[in-house]
Formats: sequence, C-alpha cells, structure tokens
Amino acid sequence: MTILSSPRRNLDAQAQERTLFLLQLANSSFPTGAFNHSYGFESWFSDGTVHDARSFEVACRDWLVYCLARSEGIAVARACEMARLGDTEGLLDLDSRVAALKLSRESREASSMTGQALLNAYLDIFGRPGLEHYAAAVRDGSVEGHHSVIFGAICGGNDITCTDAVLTFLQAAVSGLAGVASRLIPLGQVETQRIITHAGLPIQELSRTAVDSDVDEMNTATVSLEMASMQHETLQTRLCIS
Amino acid sequence: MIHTNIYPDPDWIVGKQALMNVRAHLADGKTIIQPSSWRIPFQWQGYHYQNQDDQPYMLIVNSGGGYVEGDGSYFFGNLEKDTRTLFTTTASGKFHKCLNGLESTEVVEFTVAENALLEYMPDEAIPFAHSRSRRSIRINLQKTSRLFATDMVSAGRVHYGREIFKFNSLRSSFEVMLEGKRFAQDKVIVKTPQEVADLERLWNGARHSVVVFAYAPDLPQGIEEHVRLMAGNVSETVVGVSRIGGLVIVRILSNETWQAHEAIFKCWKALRPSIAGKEARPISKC
Repeated sequence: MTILSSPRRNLDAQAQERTLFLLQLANSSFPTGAFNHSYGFESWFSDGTVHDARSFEVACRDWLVYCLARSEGIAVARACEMARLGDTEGLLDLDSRVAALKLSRESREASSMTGQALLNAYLDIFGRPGLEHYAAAVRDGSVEGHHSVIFGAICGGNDITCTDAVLTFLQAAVSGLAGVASRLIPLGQVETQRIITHAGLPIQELSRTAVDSDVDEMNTATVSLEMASMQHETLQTRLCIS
Repeated sequence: MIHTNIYPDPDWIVGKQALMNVRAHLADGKTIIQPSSWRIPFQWQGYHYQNQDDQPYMLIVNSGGGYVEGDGSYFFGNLEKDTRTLFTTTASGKFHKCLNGLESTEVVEFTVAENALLEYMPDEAIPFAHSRSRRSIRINLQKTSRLFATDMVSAGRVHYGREIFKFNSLRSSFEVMLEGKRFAQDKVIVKTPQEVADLERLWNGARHSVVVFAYAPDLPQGIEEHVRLMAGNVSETVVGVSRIGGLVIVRILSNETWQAHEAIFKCWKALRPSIAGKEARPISKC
C-alpha cells in the first residue's frame, strides 16, 4: 500500500471535492425544476411526431447538436471563463444573448425559471461569494438569469474546468430530457439509458467545440422544435411546463 | 436622433460592394425618405405613397443579378421620430455559387426612433448550390417604436433540378434590439455539407422558413391567437406563434414560395391594424 504524501493527498481531495460538487450541481435532485420541462418535445409526443425510442433518439440528437450545444453549450463555456475573470458585464451580456435566441416564450421562461432556481439554491446551500453582482441584476430584472449562464458562472467560480462544465451541462440536459420522454412515451429504462449512452461521444466532441467558440457563434437551427415549443402554449393537455 | 452615415470601406471594389444610407423624416405631415449616400449597385429610385397617405413605400433595389462570390450589400435606414415607412425589395436575394471560398454578404440595419413605424418585408433570400452567404439584419427599436418585419430563407432553387439544401454555408441573423438591449434573434450558422443537409430534417421537410417579428408597446391581449388562426390555414404550411412582452414572434414553414408569402400576408393582415392603424393590402411592385 502506497502512502500518499501530504501535498498529493490535498490535491486529490480538492479534485474529489470538485467532482462531488459538480455531481451535486447537475443532479436531477438539485432543486431547479428542470425535470418539469420538455422544451417543446411534449407537443411532438402529443401529435405522435416522436413516439418511440428511435424517433426520440433522432430528435434528441438534433436538439443536442443543433440547439443545446451551439447556444447554451457555448454560453456555459464563456460564462465559466467570465466568472473566473470576474467579468460581470460579460455575464450580463451573455445572459441577454441566450435570452434573445429563445423565440418561444415558454422556452425562454423555462430557461430563466430553472436558472434562477439554480442560482437561489446554490447561494442558499453553498453560500459562496462571487456572483453577487450577477445575482443582483437577476433580482432587479436587468437580466433574466438563464440556466446555462448561471451554471457556467457557478462552475467558473468553483475551479471547475470549462470543458467539464459544458460536458456536465450537456449530459445533464440530455439525461433530463430522456427522463421526461420516458414518462410520456413508451420508453423502457434500459432504452432510455442506452440513448443517453449513445449521446456520450457527441457530447464530448460538442463540448470541445463549445469551449473553443466565441459568443458570436451562438445560434440555433432547430426551427420545427421551436415551433413545437410555440404550439405547446396552446396544447390542451400538458404534463410539462414547457 | 442624429443621422449618421455609414461610409464605404476604402478597400471596397466599385461594383462589388453596394452601400446605401437613407434617412426618413417628417415634412408637412408626411414621411419623406432621403438618400444621404449610396454606391452602386444600389441605386436611388425614389419611393411612392401606395395608400395615398403619409407612409412612403420604398423598394430597395437589391442586385437583380444576385450576389456573386465576394459581393456585399450594406443598407442602413435611420427612421426619425413619428415617421412611418415601408421597405421591401424588388426581387428575391439570390446568392450564387462561391467556388473560391469567399462569402457573399448582406447587411441591413434600421434604427427606428420614438413613435416611428417600420414595416420591412423583403423578398426571400435564396442560397444557390455551392453558395456561401453571410446575412445580418438588425432592427434597433425604442420602447414606443412600432414594427412589422419579416425574413424568409429558402432551401435553394427548389424547382431547379431539385437544388435543395445544396449550399456550402449559411450564416444568417435577424435581430431586434430594444433600447440598445438584445430582444430577439433568429440566428443560424451551418458550415458543412452535413449541417446544410440536416436543415431539411430540422425544417421538417419544408422548403421555406420565415420569421416575423411584430412589435408595438400596446399590442392587444390575445392578438397572437388571432395571428395563429389567420396564418395557420394556408395549405402545406405550419405556423408557430409566441409572444414575449410587446413582441409577437411568428415562425412559418412552407413547401412553396407562394404559400410562405400568403402566410406572411395573413400575419400582416392580423397585425397591421394594431401596429400601423390601417388594413394590410398587397404591395404593388410594378
């Protein structure tokens, strides 16, 4: 048995602490309410566009690649970096960019609702400094407090690498949506986990791209999903908030 | 509002980069549009009052032959307080093939002052096979401004050898700023043949995608439902409508050009009385 020297033990302990922190932050039990949002998918479940494991996997992959990673993935990476640099103005600008790209009211509200819940829970539970100005701007309504920006800023303020922050954010989002799908369409637990596993490689590649991308690269191409989100506003029976 | 001209880059090649600055202001109760500078291929051809009232309609003379590799067009409009204007184009914006890796650029920017009305309804942008286009449309509003603006992008020359999603790249942004803050932005970037091809699935098989931004500080409650009902009954067309504060956002996906135009017109019909205080009527272009 090797006895670690004290500095090494400290480094390992710090790394483990960061891992535990990230796992807790991204866990579905962390009180953000994200598990109540389908981001427009409920309309597709309702009209049969997405009805089984195969159709869900294709739609979920499109959402990941053409919406989530290229808008919020980049936002997480840039927020992480800005928080490290103490760039509050940058965070506020980033928040408005994330908001503007969400053309469906429910998607925009879902993102700010979960973001604000994340911020409040983080401040309540951990009570760590660093986000006071941003939190004040959210409170006074100057910015909406979007989930990706707050998640990235919290990670940056806690020495999480930007790559790990994006990786975790994307994985948690896909996992959360798969969980919603498994409640609304015939999707077994094993199938659900298989879909999440298949998303692993793209998530790794997309995280690297997001970390290397400038805010001007943020965009979304999932036109028909956004329309589904708009149609969700008038859906007769709804189990999800968005 | 101080009118400021945007000047040409000294490195621009004459004939490759079009520039026009216009200013709208009130004179004797009517809105007048003045060109403060322009550079060919943009040409000043005046405007007309289609409804015989105070609101001029201006046809932006977009390059009839389209954008070839490296071409750029830059149009800037400063619309002063209380003015009412409508801008459209003479024809669709055609983006030709770019085989040497350069892009074609279209930039449009309007600044709309207090109580001013802008109606901006250009024809569609058509990215041809192997084109590389970069488009940016930005509209700067004040809280009391009024807006009806559209942006339509087609999949290509869809009835020409099934030239559908065959362009090389597209970077397109349609953005509304409110009092200097970002309010809404439809932005898409596709850089590879695979990403371009995937648009067909992301558009659910449609050939034309439209975004409508309509803003007024006093839009009636529930008008979005009226828009949904009006625009939603065009054949082979799907419509999504949402509202964020004073902004109504409409997304339209259609199979045919005429169907997209019809859906846009129906949106305008539903919204124009509340935005411009008058009925929508077809725009005469010749």
